[in-house]
Amino acid sequence: MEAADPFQFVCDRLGERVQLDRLALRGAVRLALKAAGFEARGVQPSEMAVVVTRMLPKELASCGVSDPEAHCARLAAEVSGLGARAGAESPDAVFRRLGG
Amino acid sequence: MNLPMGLLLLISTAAYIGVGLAVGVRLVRLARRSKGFPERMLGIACLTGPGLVAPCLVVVHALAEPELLVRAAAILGQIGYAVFCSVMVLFTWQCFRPDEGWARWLARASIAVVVFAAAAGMARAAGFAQVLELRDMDHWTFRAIGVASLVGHAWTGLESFSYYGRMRKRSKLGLADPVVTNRFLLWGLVGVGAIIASGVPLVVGLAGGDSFNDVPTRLVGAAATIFGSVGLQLAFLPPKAYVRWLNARAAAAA
Repeated sequence: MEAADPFQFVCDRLGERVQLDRLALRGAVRLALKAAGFEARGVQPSEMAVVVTRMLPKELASCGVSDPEAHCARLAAEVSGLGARAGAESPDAVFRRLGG
Repeated sequence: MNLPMGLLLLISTAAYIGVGLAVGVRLVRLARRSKGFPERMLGIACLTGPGLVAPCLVVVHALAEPELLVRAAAILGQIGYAVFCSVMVLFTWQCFRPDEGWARWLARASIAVVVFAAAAGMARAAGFAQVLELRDMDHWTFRAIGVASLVGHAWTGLESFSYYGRMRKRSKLGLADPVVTNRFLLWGLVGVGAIIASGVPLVVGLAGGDSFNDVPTRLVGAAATIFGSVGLQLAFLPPKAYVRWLNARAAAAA
C-alpha cells in the first residue's frame, strides 16, 4: 500500500475533478478537518476517509461544488486505501498508552 | 493551626504523595516495557514531585536538627524540584509540540531557570544559609522555580484542554476513545489544580504575605492538591467502575 499525505492526496484528487481554485479547495478540506478535530498534518488515511465522508460534502457544497456527496464517496474509498503514515506520535496515541 | 486545618493538610499531603507514587511507579514500569519518552518523563515527574520534593519539604519544615539531615533533605528537595519541573516541561514539549521550535526553546529556557535556581538553593542548603532559613518558601530560589513550574503547568493544561476539544469533535464521528478523551480533560484539570496549589502561595509571597503560614493560602493549596490528586488518579490509574461509566455514557450518547 502506498503511504502518502492524506490531506495532499485529497486536495490533488479533488483538484482534478472539481472546478475550484486551489486555495479555496485546500481551505474547504482544512475546514472539514478542523470541524472534525483534526489538522492536515498528522491525520491518518482511515480518519481522513471519515472526514471526507461526513464533513467535506458540506464544505464543498458551500463552495458551490455540484454533487459533493458523490465526489466525497469516491474520494473516501480512495484515501482509505493509502498506507498509514509514519511520523511523530500523536498526543492521543501517547495518552492512550499512558492509560495502560 | 487548628485541628481540622492540620487534618486537611495531612490528607492533602498524603493524597499527593500516595497517588503520585502509585502513578509514578506504574508509568516508569510502563516506560521500561514501551521505551516511550513521554511515560518516562511523566513517571519521573510523579516520583520526584510527590515522592521526593514533598517528603523533603516536610522534613525541612518539621525538624531543626539533626542539621545534617535537614540540609540533606533541603538539597534533595532542590534536586527533586528541578527534575520535576524539567521533566514536566519535557513531557509537554514531546507529547504535544515535538516539532515546534518555540516549544523546544520554552522547554530549554524553563530548564535553564530551574537548574540555576536549584543550584543556588543547594548552595544555601549546603551551608550558605542557616537551617531555619531553609524554610523560607519566599526566597527567590523557590520563587524562580515556582514561576517556571507555573508556566509548565499552564502550558500542559492549555495543551490538554485544547486537545480535549479536538477529541470531543472526533468523538461525534466515532473517531475517539471516550476514556482517552476524558484523560485529556483530567490532565488539564490536574494542571489547574497545580496552578492553584503553586500559584496562590507564589502570588501571596510576591504580595508580601507569609505564604507558608497564611491559613487561607494553605487551605486553598490543600484543596487544590486534593483536587489534582483525584484527577491524576482518575487519569492514569482509573478504577474499573469509572472506566465502565465513561464507556456507558459514550455509548448512550452515540
